[in-house]
Amino acid sequence: MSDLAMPPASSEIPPVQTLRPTTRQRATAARTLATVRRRRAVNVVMVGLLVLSAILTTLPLVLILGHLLKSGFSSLNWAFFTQLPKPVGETGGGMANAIVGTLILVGLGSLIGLPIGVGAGLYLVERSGTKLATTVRFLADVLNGLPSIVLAIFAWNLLVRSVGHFSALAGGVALGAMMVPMVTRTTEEMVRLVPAALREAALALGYSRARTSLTIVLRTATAGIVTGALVAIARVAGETAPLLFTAFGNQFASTALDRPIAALPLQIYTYAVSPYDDWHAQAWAGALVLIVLVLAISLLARAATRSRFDARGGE
Amino acid sequence: MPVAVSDASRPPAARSGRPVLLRDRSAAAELPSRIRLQVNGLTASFGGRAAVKRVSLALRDHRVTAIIGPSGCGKSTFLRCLNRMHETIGGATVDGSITLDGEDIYAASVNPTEVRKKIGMVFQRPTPFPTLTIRDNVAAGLKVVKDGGASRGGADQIVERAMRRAVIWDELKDRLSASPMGLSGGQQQRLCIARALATEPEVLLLDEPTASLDPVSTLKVEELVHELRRDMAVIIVTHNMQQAARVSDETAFFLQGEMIEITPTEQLFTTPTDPRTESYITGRFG
Repeated sequence: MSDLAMPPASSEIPPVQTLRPTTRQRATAARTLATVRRRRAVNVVMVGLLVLSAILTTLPLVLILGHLLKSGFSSLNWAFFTQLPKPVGETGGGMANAIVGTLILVGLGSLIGLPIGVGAGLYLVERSGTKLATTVRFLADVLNGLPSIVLAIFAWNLLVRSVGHFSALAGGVALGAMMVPMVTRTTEEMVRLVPAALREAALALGYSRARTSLTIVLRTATAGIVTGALVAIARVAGETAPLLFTAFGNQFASTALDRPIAALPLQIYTYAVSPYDDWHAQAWAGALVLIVLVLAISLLARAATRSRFDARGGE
Repeated sequence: MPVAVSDASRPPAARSGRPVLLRDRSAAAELPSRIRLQVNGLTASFGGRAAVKRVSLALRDHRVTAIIGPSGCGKSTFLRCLNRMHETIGGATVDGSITLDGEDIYAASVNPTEVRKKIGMVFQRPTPFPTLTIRDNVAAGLKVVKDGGASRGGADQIVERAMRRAVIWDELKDRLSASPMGLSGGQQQRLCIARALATEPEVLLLDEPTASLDPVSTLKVEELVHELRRDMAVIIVTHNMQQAARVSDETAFFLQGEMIEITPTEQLFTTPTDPRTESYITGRFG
């Protein structure tokens, strides 16, 4: 309360008659006090609930990471990253083939999923409201909700049954098909966030519609699209089901796209359900590597696409 | 051309609240001027509802034409018809004719992007491209112009010249590779004007260019407008009657989609011919 808020002292203000509040005023004051107390209590409870849900949201991740570090870190050594799996009965060995395989599969999936997804997302904005756009958006949502094993069947039917054997390509297609709807929808939302004024400014400079979309709108939305793409990549990198009967897994080193290929999630699954203790330990280590890999992909891509103005200390 | 009106000859009712005419525009009036843009019977609609009705006027070189009128009177829509931006909105249609240097810009053979290269536009709110540097923002329009400015001495010189004309070069010459998003609103708007000037348009459309700016920035933009008329025809849509009085040679008054009158600015603000203009400029409505 500053002095400014006080009424100016003036002889024209009549003297206060009485300082004793009436009964009615006293009742009002009591009610006000009760209301304030009740609101404070509700506030404490609600904030407490929010803090609790925030903790519960991150708790599983912290627990999983902690457990993985505890169980998997001890099995991590140079050999894990450089050697192939040893035959049953021999100790040691690593998952080099699975790590390389996962990178290839995710790379293939991104190669298929990102261009199609970004293109489709841009289309949904540019042709917003047309029948085709509405249909595509609806189908993308349906595809997004489709169980990943069903997408595996699609890839299997397309590229395994017709050829007669499992292949890395089939696995990549299955992962790509999973990425398309995710990337489509995030791209659409990010492009929609670009102000219409920016698009108009480009058009008014004599940019064609296509050029405006590709150079101004898409570029402005890049940061958001990259984030969406990373979420999609991180999600498919850990997928097991789409790879079960497409990439199939491979105990040997193979980078051929037309041959079965190893993948970390598959290897983890195989090792985890095996009866051998050292395979269990390796499965933990594999899970840890998978998480770190996904994290590293995110951080790398984020650093690479960070607005170039940030690097100069902003302006 | 400006008509000098003595104070005594003004209608007494209109004397108060009139915008003050600050500038002497006789210098620009001496430049020879020919018609750049001729608008005939222009009607612009959104989904069948006409926002601009049968407007005809001529825009001349070396003249600043102001368009004033209450909100929703169709002045922005009219402006957007002049560089074919109106049709970029769904359901928008245009009727009537507009010729630039005698050529119909709505002819079937004319590509709207070609029209927009010749007719620059600056919007109400500054719209720098956030992903481009300050320099690249100014050079953005050059990429779609034939020869990319090579014949005019390279992009860097064009950028410098455009920024000098927009009176922003001295402030920003050391920050050309920085992001435009760190600039003040006034700087951003002058950057957008520089961007529009880089391609050397024949006509410049300003759609309430100072509506989101502070008074100092507004003054800078207005001085800029005053200078720009040396090289082109300028049309400025404004809510601010004082601004129209300060910067323009001719003023058009729009009301409910119709152009009520267009007269030399001094005349419009002293002895308007139409009683509705009179009511508007004296603050009786709008």
